Amino acid sequence: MPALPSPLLRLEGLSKSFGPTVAVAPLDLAVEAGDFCAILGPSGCGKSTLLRMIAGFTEPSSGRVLIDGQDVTALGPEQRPTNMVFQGYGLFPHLTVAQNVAFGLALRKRPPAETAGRVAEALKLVRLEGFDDRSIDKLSGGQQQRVALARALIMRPKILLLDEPLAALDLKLRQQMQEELRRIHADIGGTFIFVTHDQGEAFALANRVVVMNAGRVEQLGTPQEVYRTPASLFVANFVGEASILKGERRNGMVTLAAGPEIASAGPDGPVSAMIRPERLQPAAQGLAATVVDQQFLGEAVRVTALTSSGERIHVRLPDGPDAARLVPGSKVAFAFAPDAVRILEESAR
Amino acid sequence: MKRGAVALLSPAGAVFAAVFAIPAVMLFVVSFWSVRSFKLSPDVSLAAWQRFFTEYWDLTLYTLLIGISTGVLCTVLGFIFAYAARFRAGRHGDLLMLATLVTLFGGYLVKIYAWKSILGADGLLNQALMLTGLTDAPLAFLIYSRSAVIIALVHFLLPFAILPIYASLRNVSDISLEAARDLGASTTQLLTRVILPQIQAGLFSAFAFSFLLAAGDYVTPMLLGGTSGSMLGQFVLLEFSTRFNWPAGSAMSFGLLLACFVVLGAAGYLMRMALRPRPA
Ligand SMILES: Nc1ncnc2c1ncn2[C@@H]1O[C@H](COP(=O)(O)OP(=O)(O)O)[C@@H](O)[C@H]1O
Ligand SMILES: [Mg+2]
Repeated sequence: MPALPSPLLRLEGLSKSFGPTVAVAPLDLAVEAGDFCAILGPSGCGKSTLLRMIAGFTEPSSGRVLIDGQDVTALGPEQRPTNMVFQGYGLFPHLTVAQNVAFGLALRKRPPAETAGRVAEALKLVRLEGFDDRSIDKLSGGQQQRVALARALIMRPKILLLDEPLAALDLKLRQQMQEELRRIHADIGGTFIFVTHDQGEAFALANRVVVMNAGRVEQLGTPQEVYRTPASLFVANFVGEASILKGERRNGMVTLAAGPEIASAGPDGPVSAMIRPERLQPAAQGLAATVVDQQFLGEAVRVTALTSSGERIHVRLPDGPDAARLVPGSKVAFAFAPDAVRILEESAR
Repeated sequence: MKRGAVALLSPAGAVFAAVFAIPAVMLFVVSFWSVRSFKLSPDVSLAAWQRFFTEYWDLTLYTLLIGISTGVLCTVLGFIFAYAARFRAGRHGDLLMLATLVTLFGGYLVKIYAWKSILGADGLLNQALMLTGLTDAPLAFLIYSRSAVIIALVHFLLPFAILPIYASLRNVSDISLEAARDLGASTTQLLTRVILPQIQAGLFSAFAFSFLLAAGDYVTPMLLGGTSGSMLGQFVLLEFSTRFNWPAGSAMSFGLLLACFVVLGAAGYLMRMALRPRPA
């Protein structure tokens, strides 16, 4: 049988329960070499548990982990071709920056010249040249983050795992580190998988997003797919902002409680329609609503309105005369293109 | 140093001077006095030091040996116990430390007499050995020996070693241990390269406490040491009291103190060398 090109990482029926708590329900997942993959979900949904099963710290309750086609389920973290950047960094306080970075190579007894060369290279990659002999407690949070990154990258892992890598940093530093991470990913051409609860961060970094909820994978796709065509109400709500309108499908036509009708093939029954805020525009006719709130965001204005059916809709439009007219209390109609609507079956939660 | 720091340190400095520095200086001065027919005369004589170096040098070495053995045993056993409490007992680690503290309240003489009744000629151990037929006469060497002294001292001093080691183990973060494993560290490498180097201060305190308290003890050897397990402290007491030879007692005390500092310095140096980051 000809070997199919297999993905770098494949999870098969992987699950984990802690006693009665199902942290991760059985799931299948494939990550290709070169991917920058985000595992996105609310706190407590099982992201860290999933990452720790890939790294080898948590023993799965069922299923297998395959890296490069090889089953590594039974191997400990020290034997897997993965390395991890931990949420609290876990740097070694008794060692200098260079000694921290060299730790993994020193364990493998590499020749000192090679180790020194690779340490210099890794420190350069994370822009910490000249920090070799600093002690860890003299570093800022962002610098510690870079040391943790260099310490993992120097091992040249097949997969680099990052658990909420930027969560502890303030906004400015976080944006700066996001850029750095993208640059490093491009420079070394590696495969990165990171965990985050921040949708913006997932979109800023990743080319593949795995959306998780309550231990399950809700959707796997590019950031665009996840944003434009969410697979479930959960994804629609968790990823970005969305207006959700209830409706009923009869013979391929959905009638919204709020008024408009939309053509949509599928079985008869209750459905939800999802529209992203930038896809709604004030117009002469369409979805009728009353403005209840207007927020100035700088480059845009965010408007909240109530439909006649009492449902809340969110609209985002550029600042200008159109927006200025949408003061609270005003009655307006919003138009949308047919492809702006995503119809979700009620069964898709 | 800033003025505030001086102010903050001065109470501790005063206590240190009162309980350590002044007595030490007095010992040092008195050790050069001489004594004739139970009368002290404050002059400059080397007689007491001569006596220390000729009559007591071997006993000083044995005393240090008992102290070092006790210190090393306490540190090793204390580490094993503290390690288990920190990494194996989960949330109950602190409770175990409380239990450790409570054993200190048992008192000191009680423990020595307990060992007397275990190790003695008609003690528990000998009875058990004879009952099981392993021996047919009591083993005399169990009690009144150097090992009996060391056993009792380790039993009494172990909590003093456990507590500082546990305190420093609590500062070792679990994440740093996971990171080390992730980078390929075996269990042994985890111990020698991550855990032990981070708790050097605790290990040294543990050794210093148990070594100093053991080397300065005179009650345990009096009750359990017999003739072969005697220690310098007993003879210091003898010189001060029965013989009324204060200069000799002072020279011996001061000499032991200096020797203890040398041992501590060497122990600290050896530990630092053994646990230094490799390769640099
Ligand atoms: N070691 C553990 N023991 C018991 N329950 C755990 C353990 N680790 C995680 N859990 C539970 O598993 C669920 C998922 O946790 P986690 O993977 O840390 O979520 P996330 O990283 O998405 O916030 C949570 O309900 C958490 O309480
Ligand atoms: Mg987490």
